[in-house]
Amino acid sequence: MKYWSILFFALLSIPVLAQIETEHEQTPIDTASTLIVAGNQEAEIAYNNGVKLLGDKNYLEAVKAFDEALKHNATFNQARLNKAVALSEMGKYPEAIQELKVVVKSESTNNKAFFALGAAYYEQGAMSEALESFGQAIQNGYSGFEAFYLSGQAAFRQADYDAAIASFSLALRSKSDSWEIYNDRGSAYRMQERFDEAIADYKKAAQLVKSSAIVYNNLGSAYRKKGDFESSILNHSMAIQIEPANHIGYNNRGSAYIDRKQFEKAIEDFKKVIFLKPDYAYGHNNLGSAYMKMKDFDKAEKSFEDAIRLSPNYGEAYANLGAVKEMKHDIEGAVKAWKKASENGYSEANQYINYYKN
Amino acid sequence: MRNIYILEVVILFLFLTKIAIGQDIPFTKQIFGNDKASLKDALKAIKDGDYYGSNEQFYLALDSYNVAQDINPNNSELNYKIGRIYLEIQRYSALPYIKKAHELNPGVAPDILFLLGLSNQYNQKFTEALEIYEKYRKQLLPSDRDQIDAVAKRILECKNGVELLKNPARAFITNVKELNSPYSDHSPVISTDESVMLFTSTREGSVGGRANSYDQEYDEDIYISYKTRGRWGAPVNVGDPLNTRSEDATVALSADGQSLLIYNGQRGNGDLQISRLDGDRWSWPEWLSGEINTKAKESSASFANNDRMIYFVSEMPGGIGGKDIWVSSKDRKGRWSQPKNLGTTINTPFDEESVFMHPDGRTLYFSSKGHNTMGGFDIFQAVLNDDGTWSKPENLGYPINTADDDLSFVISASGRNGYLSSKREGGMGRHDIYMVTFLGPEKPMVLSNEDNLLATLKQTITDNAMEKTVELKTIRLTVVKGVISDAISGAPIVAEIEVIDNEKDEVVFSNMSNSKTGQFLISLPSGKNYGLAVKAEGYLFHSENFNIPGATAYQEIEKEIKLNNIKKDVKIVLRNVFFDPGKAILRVESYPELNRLAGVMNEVPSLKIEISGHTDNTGSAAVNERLSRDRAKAVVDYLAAQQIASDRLTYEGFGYSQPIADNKTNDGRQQNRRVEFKVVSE
Repeated sequence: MKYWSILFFALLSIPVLAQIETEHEQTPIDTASTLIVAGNQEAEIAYNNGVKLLGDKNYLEAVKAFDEALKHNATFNQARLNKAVALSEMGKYPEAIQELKVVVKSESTNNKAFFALGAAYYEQGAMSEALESFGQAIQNGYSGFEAFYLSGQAAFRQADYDAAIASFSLALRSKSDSWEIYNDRGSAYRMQERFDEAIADYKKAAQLVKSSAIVYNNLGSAYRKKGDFESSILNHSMAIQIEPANHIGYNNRGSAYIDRKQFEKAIEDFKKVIFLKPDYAYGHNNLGSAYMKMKDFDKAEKSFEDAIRLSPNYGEAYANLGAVKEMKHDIEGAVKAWKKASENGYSEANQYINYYKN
Repeated sequence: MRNIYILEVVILFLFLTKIAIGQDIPFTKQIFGNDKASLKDALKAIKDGDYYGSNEQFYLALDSYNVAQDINPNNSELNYKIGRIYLEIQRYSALPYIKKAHELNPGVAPDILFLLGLSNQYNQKFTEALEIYEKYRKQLLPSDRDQIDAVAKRILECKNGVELLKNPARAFITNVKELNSPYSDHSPVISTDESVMLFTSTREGSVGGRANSYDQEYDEDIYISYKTRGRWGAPVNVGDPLNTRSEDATVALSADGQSLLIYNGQRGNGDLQISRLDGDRWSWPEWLSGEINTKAKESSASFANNDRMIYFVSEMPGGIGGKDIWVSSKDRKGRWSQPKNLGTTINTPFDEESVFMHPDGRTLYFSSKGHNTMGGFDIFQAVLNDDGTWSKPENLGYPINTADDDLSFVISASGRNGYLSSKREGGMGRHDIYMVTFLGPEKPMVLSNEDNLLATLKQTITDNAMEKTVELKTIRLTVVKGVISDAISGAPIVAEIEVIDNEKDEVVFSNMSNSKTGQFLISLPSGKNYGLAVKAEGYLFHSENFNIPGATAYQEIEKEIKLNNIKKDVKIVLRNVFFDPGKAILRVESYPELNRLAGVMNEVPSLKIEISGHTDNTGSAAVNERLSRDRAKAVVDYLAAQQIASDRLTYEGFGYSQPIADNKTNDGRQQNRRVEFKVVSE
């Protein structure tokens, strides 16, 4: 029996990478590699049907077809792999993982299966397992940038920024024109407070994409972290220019205005944030902070209360509410707010409470 | 007749025109015309005001001037006079009068610019005051030496004020209305735990019962108030023997509230006396013994180091200038030693006043007209360094300090609340007592931001950025307070309380519990291992151990101490007996406690005791039993070495067979590791 295997290039089933690809080139379905079917090959017939359905994005029927193939040939790993791809497309990552585990158990060097498994784990939020599977894929000769990129993202999400930077750097070796990878490496540098390197990467990303509010916001935030508030404001303004309804841009620029002690301008920006996204608790909290700086305690108190109403477990807003109550000489109210802040994870509030304990 | 009418109309027109255009309107016939009665009343009132003013009867002077002011509020000279009176009795109120006097007639008096500067300064308008003082300085002749110096000092104060106002203190001030009256209320003193306040007041109802003719204030008396559920109760005149028919004023209260220093102006230009609380009665005040009281005035003071030191203010010779702060220690006979001047870091050529040492024994508060005051007496803080030197005094800042006098500052042990006396706008009259609530370190605002840090991840990542925090200043002090009572009847006991620095074997505090309530209060600065021994006649002593590491922040510990009679089978835990871990070698810190036990054995020769050792349940029973027995024996050997007959001492080791607390917790295990004695025979 001779047949050609077809593997739907697994990255198509990974939203993260699909997003990159949509802006570049789509990986085509390799129609030339469909199976050549001999007589009485029910498994292969069902498999070919599954591939067609997958190509048509009819994932439910594709899964049924691959199941039919597997009924006739339980060791038909290509069918199982593509079934996993279809399941992933449907967001059924646990089932996809189950299928892929069967594949890699019987084919321990199948780097594509390992990559697909890693991708499914990644989408499921299981970063350690994802990293392990990506490692197996690379070890078994997977040469695409995707494994490195996703490894970088998984490491980033685990706050292992050294590993993230290393993986993003490897990804850039084979895909040096990706603004996304530069952006993400910049973010990893930023998290390590290596702001100059972060800024360099974000700038490179900005050159590659030119009109991304995301990159300019990140660049603005890196400048703010570095203490260069003027550049921060400039870049957030760029983000706002690209995307005038970008509430994140206004929110971040407002914060930079607070750092520059331009409180009126900060208030203007935070009001714009709330206009664009009235239920955005951060905007209300930050507006309260700006009012606090202006010593307008009544307005500050109202803003913090609005933030808490929108996000009842918002520890930082409770901490700020405590601070404004303290300034209004309502010590009892302040301590009550700080207790809520502490209950909601803002542990610094405990020392404020202790001060008023005795 | 018609002509007279026309003249009157013209005069009225002129009068009104002058008012309308803000002109200086003299008290003359030309202006008042036929309204002779008003003119007569006004001139008489001014004359009376001048008389009272020259006799320093400022309140009467003000009443008189106000009669004339009601008739004609646009006379520069009268406004000047009223302003001057206010600069004597209520400085912040002078500004509108002095300002108007200057506007109506810039040449109304040679010192009008200086007074305008002062009036602005007393309203914290430092920038305006600076400009006016500079203008005034340019007018002075080189021969006006005193005025040149005075204005130079004022300019300096205003410059300080400008700086201090840039960074106000994180505190707010409230008038303690429960305590204040329309009369002068001042010199608050508080117990360490802020439960009791005594203060001085010139309100109606004084023991002397007379109001003086100068300011209509009654003789100063001492009042007491208790704080319950966070509020001060109605003040009560403490009466006899503290209050007399003369002036009686509070100076300082000891940390435990059992000793009170008072000021008596009838001897040596003003001397200090002490009174002790016996139950609920204050003892007859006695002059402080030793070297503190001199022929010069001693005006304020503060106990320190558990009443073994006194910081006080005196005008005695040998100082830096004016009133200075001095310190004296109690000698072995309980007399106050030769005072030492605190030196030029604290004292200045100007007056210092109102000294207060915090119970931590290191932080000194005082008022001064020197250093970087923004005007009059400001309150400062300085810290005693380990090498005996003082840190540079720091102005407590606005709004604690104002350009007027801010005096009599005291602060609770926790450092959260302070009290002071001053005259401020919105007060109840004259000097008032104000509470300062310290807000602690500035709370940084937390800004919430987020970014799409990973380009392909829709989910944003939040970044909560906190502003830089201000350093947290912590008071390192433990306050132990409670009641000593009979273990059986629960009745309060008057007992002797001794605190020993175990490492130095040095008594750092010794006092009696209150005879009526059995209450006590001790302040223990962090960084030492303290032994607390409580002794009372007919009772076995009680001991506690407080090992307080140096970094321990302010805490209050309440302790109910029950004393047992010397009776057969009574057991007492020796909490200040220490061994090396896993060994039966007594550490030297144990000696004070064992010496105390030897003392009891000597006092009661019939007493026979059994020393027993106990462990926690860590390790094997056999090892623990051996260790506990060896430790009990070590105690017996020590007592024998102190000449206690061996037939009065037996020992036993119980290992972990007799726990007194849960071995599952650290605290419980610590309590179980102990040495105790049992009365075998009385």
